Amino acid sequence: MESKELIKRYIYAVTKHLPENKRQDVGQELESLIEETLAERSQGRPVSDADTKAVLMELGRPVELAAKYDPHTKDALIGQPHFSVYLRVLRIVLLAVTLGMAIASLLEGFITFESNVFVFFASVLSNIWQGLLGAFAWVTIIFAILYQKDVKLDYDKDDLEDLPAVPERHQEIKLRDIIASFIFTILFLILFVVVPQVNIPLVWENSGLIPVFNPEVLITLRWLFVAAASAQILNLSIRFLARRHTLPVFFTTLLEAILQVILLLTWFHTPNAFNPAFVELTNDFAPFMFEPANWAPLQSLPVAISAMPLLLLIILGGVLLGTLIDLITTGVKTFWGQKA
Amino acid sequence: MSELNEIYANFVVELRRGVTNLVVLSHCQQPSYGYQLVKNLADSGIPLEANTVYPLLRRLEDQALLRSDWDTSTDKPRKYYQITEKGRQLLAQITSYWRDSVKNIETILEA
Repeated sequence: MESKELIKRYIYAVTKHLPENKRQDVGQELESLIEETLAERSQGRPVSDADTKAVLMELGRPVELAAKYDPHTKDALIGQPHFSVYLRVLRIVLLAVTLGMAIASLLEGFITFESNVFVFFASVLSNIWQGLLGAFAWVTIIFAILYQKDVKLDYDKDDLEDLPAVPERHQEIKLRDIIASFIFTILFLILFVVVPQVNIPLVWENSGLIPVFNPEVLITLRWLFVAAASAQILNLSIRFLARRHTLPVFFTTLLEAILQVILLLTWFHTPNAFNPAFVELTNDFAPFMFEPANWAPLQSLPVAISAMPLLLLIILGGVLLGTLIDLITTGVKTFWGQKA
Repeated sequence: MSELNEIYANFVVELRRGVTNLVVLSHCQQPSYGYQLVKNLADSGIPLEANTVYPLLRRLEDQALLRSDWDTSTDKPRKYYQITEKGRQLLAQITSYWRDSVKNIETILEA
């Protein structure tokens, strides 16, 4: 290739990485530099192609030269301090997804009565692999965005005034609690959203496994389930980053509780929330479970609630009580800790 | 390259990185163009690659520490850089810091 053409291409290869408004100026300056260097190198004799190549080689690879013009360019997808947090989150997520997918796939295999053991295990492994790939991709994408957009994590507060206080023992959130809740959330998502036909399977003599809840209803309400689980994941993520009871932890716990209540009331208000096959079998020995619980104390409640089958009311009451206790505990630890 | 040489090379790069800005800024008290700067610094025993100096000049200009003008009066158009008032103030601060540091480091090295 002719020297002039080579120089033109080299300059283009450098400047195309630079902002539009700088390209022409940097290009002219590089051209001037290359000409001066060539003139000195050739000492009056005609410039050869070998001279040009040598000078351009000295200047280095176009991409590297372009990068020197903008030292703030991030040359990693996820750099520090985000990278250490990313690794920790990834480890927990992959562990939770492996456990969740394994349990869900095993249950699904039992439900569908897959007789070929090899096919069965291949499908379990394939499900776990797909789950892991998805989880890896999501965590990586989220952290790449956080890093590239310079979103500060609680870890990299560098202003002395901003350094977080060492949490009191009662304010600390234990990692094992976060991991346990996370595994539970993933399992909940998988059972009720990914394999709603399985949901909670009960072993029944002569009838095999029967899911407790009506899969069709679960499919209709799947976005509500996703919203509730997302709120819980958000809450757990904030707990993971803060590792103590802070206001954001309390407010995301509140959001999670509200979504759980909306989900439960919508779900249990739907006719046939239970699987008809499960209802039929239970009716054989405990018919009162599915009759409206016409207890006097419940009469004052809205009809939609007082007319619910007893079993639904028990579940609803249990979960609501659990949610309320969690919310109160978080609230007390947050506000008590703030004042302390 | 032996391990020691490699460590030495990295050490020199680290040391030079901070000093380069000071040297270039100081040199631009007189209007200079990139190639001339590279030559003069090399002659003064501070060899710097053109691919380091050119982007650095541009960055110092972006920080308003240098200003530049194209001289097109000759057949070879050249871009001249010269220090600004802001650049002068910074240069004075860095020079003072540099002198104190050299003095203190010398004391440590001679101890």
